Amino acid sequence: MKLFRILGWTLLVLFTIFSVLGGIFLFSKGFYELSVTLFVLIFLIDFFIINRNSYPYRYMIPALVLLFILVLYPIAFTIRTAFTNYGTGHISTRQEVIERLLVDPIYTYVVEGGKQFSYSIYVRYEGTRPTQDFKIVMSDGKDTFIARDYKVLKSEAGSIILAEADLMKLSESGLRVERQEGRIEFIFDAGRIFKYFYSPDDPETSVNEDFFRYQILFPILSKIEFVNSAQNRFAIRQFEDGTFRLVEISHLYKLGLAEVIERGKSIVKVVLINTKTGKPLIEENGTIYDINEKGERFAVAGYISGYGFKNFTRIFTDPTISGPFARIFVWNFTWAALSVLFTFVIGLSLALVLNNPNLRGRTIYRSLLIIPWAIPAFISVLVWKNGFFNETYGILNKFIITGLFGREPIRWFNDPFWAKVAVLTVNTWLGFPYMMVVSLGALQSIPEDYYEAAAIDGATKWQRFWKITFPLLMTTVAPLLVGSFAFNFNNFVNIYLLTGGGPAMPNTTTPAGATDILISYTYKLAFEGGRGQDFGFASAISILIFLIVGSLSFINFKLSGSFEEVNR
Amino acid sequence: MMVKRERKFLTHFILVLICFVVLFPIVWVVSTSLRRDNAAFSTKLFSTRLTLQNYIDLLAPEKNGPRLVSDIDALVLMAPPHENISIEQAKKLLATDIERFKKYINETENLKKRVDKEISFLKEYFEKNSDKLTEMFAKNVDTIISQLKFQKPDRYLNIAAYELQDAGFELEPLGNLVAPSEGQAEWYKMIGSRKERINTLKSELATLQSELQPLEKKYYALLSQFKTQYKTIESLLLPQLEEYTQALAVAEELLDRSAKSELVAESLPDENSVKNHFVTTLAQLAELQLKVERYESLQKVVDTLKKFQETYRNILKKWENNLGNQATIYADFLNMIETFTIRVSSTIKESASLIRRLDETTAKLLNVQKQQQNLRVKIHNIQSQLEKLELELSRAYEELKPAIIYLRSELLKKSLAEIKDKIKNLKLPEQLQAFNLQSKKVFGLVSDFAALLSEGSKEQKSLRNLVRNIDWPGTARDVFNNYELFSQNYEPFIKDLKKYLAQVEQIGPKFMPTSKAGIKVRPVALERLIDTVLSTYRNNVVPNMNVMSRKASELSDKLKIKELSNSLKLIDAATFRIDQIWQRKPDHYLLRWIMNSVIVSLSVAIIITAVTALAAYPFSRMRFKGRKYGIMSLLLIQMFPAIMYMIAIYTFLSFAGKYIPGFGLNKLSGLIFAYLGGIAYNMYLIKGYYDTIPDSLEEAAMIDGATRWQTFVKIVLPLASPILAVIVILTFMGTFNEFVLARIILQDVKQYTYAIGLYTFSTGPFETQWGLFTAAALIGMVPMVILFLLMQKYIVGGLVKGAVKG
Repeated sequence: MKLFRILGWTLLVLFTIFSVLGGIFLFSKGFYELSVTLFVLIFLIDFFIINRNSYPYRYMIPALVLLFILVLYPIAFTIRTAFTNYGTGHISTRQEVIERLLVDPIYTYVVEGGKQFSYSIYVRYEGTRPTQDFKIVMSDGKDTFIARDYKVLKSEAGSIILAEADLMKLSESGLRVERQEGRIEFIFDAGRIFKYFYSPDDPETSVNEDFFRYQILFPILSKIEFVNSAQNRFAIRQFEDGTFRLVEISHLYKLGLAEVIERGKSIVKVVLINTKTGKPLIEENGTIYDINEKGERFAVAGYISGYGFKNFTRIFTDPTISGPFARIFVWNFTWAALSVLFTFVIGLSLALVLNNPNLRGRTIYRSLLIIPWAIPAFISVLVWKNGFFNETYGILNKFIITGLFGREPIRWFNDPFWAKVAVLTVNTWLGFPYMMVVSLGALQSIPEDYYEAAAIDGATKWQRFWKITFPLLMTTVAPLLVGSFAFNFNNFVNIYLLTGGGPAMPNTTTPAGATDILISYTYKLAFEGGRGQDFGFASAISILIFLIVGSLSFINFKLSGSFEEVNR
Repeated sequence: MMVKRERKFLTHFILVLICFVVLFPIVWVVSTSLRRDNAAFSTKLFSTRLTLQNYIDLLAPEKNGPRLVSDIDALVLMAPPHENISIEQAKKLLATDIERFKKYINETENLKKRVDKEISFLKEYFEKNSDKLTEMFAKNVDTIISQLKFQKPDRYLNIAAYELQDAGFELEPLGNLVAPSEGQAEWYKMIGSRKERINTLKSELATLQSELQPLEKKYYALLSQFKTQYKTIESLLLPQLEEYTQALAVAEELLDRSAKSELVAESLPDENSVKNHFVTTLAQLAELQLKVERYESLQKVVDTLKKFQETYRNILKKWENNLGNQATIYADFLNMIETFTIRVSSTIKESASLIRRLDETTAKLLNVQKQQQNLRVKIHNIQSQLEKLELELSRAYEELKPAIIYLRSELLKKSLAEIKDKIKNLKLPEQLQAFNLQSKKVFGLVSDFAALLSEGSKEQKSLRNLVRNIDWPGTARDVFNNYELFSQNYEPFIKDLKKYLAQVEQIGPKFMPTSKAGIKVRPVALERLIDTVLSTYRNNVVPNMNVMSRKASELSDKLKIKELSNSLKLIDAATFRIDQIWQRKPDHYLLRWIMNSVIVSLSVAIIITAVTALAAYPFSRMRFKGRKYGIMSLLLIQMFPAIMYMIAIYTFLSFAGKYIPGFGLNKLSGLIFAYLGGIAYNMYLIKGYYDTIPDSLEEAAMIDGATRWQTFVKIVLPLASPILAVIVILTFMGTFNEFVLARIILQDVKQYTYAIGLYTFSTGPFETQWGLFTAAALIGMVPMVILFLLMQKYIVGGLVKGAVKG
């Protein structure tokens, strides 16, 4: 028993140490919310296990882990994102961007008039197969140099981003070589034998070109910078004629110090400096600008930075957004309300007919009519979209509109009005069985005595419906209607799969369409990069949606008395 | 009693109708998935040519010709997927492949023989029943003739005859029935004269319109000239006048002072000449004003001019009283006025010339406008005349119509009778082409005539119906012709196949050792074999074969002869099978997608159920902080749009994927992880069920010394197993049906779940492959519907109780 206790405590300590390390790692990578979430989680778990009084919470630990990582963290992330410019062009953190500017081969340039080498590659073989272990020998016509083994300076997920290797004269390297007809054929280095493999100037080695390119050049060699004793840098670059040459390069940006006057005080800051012009780069609103020779600014890179309430105020102030947004907003409510209305009216009518106990085969009718609900919505929507509403081949246009009525085919997906008709039709078809079933249940719970009493008093059928059935029905069904409204308010699948939100609205900078509801609009903003992704704005809208749907659901819980039910 | 029954019947009728409308999409899905033809391009809603081929292609694709050759190729070259097997194994596999290939060749030959047989049967039938068929055709023509019963009108016959003659009809067959020459004069009165008049008017109209065009251009050029000119005047004159007014105000002040000033000047400029000048400019100003006043748009200038003159007059008045003044200031005043007057008069001159130019432009503009006006009036006149004439003409035609219809029906009868005579002696199938020409003629003549009848009338419809199937000789000819071409192309195709296959069988295994050693050389015979299967078949064999097959089924529809229908259907079936053997088909991953979906959904369902079963327990049995509002606030929090979780989870997964192998984006494990967030609703359901399990059982166990955990595992969980099973199934269904998150996380086709896989069947190149799409949809739909109907009680119950599934 004691052994178990000790084992348990060790495990807990190990878990805590491991998770804390993970949290620190995440923090260093810029996942601030996630690492904070993780720390809170670790604290809670440890607390629950150590503290005797929090026994009930121990049952919830797995649920808490999922809840924290998959629900609370995303919410925190979304809220923070809503106040930033996170999106296309502003994807990485400032630190990552600066690192990339310093390291990435894109931000190097070939020194004009610099040295150029011819090079040949020597590879170690394993049996008859070449390996990725290689040596590079280069010559400027006068001297022959060889590179030492490279050191990886920066790598990500196992692939090299930047590596460095020292260059030295072959004669001074102390490596033994073996020549044939004046050409070096073998290099011996600490028991490894490297065999002549490839040189761009030697057509005889062109059979090895594929292996060289895909196994050596792209993954490794192109990332290496060779440094000679004079600290000049060389690397392989592809030229416009497609050849890969070994040339002298220089980094475009370096870190440097600059004196800046801020709030009347002179401050020395670490800034990026363009090595060509010698001017420091300027940072503004999460974008880094460089200044070219003519003194013009141009954006080099962007990083995530604070945006204040701009994402929220944009909804009202930017005319290219506010117009479409208002239309989407209104349509969103119309769509949810009409969906509920249509499905409820049809569902209730059918329920009233089927509620007659003397009707033969009513279970069959009920089972048949429930099928649209039973089919997964995405399948039905795709069937409707592809088979029925397709403008050219769809059977609605082909057999009913032109075939039966002889009208022009309807442009279901290109005309805003008809697109709305299409989504509402499909949604009604999908949703009425639910309303029918729900109404049937509610109707059956109304006592028969009421009707008998009413019949004795001489009430007509119509009166009985409006005075007895409907009010009693509504007490049970009203919360469900609110719930259905909330569900349809966010009914993404139907809109997205059927029309994709289209047809597109004119005169707008965001991907807004005539049948878009807020959630599909948000999705398009965030994940469909047609006009660039805008996570910040998308997050702002999703907070808005949450406020609307959350308050609807809160009202609903109150209406249905779910709070009371939970608190047994 | 009777009444009640009636109404019940009506209710059932309406309910059945509603069920049909509601379930129509499903009926459509089922029928389309079984169709052999391409439903998207078909003119029929349903088809009787059925097949299970779509399901076979999706679930158990046959290793058909093209797939076989690529497998043989991989074996000979020892390339993936066969790179790791021994040569012995490869030889064995190659032998089975070749065996199978031979079987396919055999099958194809048998099928071809069947087609040959059926075609020769068809020819024979045509030969034997040549008379019967022609007779049938003649009978059909007779039916048409019998339909052509139009009353002979008592008026306008000759006129209509002339009209027809004019339109190029040959009237001879009508014989003495009409005398077109007698109708000519009358025709000219009714129709000819009007037609002539319309033609001349139309050409006049065209000339007028061509005249109007350059005028229009000129007009706009002048208009823009006018605009710039008056703007120049305004911008030139207004600021100057304002300046001058100010200058005059200064002068006036000087004048006022000079009256009181005592300082006497030594000499003065000539008072009178200055004044005369001044007065002259005033007159010029007035003149200018008159000119400017013509233009309403220059009202501002006019106003300023008026005001300016007003100041002028004021000064003049004061000046009269001051004449003879000797003060120095008076001298200043005079000097000022003198220079001022010079400036003003030059301005006036400038303005006058500007105004003159404006006048010129205006005159031109007005002139052009007038010309346009005149032309428009003329055009309008001609147009209204034209309208009137055309109306008259169409009325005249309307009057003539019965006569025309009558005459043309007579003509048609005659030509049909002629055609009937011609075909009588035709021998089938040799003279099928001649027969086809005649049938086309019948079709054309009758269709032309039907177009003449009033749109949608009964006569028109019945004529069109009668003539619809009359061109069967053409269809038959197409069947025979395409059969000939198909056979021609088929022979070398099958011969090549055999030839190359035999060679591959011999030398293929010999290439294997070298291939294994890395020297991959494809034998020429194999190359030719691949070429024959992939391109010769598609380019040479398929086109004629498919046309033949389609025409054969058309012919069967048109002829409606039982003996033939059977044999035509056999042709259709045989060619369909040939196509299935040799057609190159894309690979589908439906089974894999379903597997992926099942893996993901099952894992998610089990994990979520386990976690929630655990977490819901304290909510039902223990007292702690947060119990009261815990689940409800969870439910509320989960109202946050799930799609927006994805930005965070997407970022997280793409990051984690770099460090944890087997996890991250585009991995099923990543997707499973992303799905695990939906726990709130299940907690709510399970907690509700725990509440119904009496506490006493646990209390009894605890008295016996069991811990809380033990009572939970040994008592509560087994008792709650029904609800846990329900939760597993419901979560399974919910996850199976999820589309959005999967679409964001999975990018590789092989990793797709069923939901996104099906989506690819509805877009891109598959958009019109309805057979595959509906079959795939049905495969996913059926188990889900069955599960739903089985779980109905819980789904409905849960919704009615909680009403929170959102």
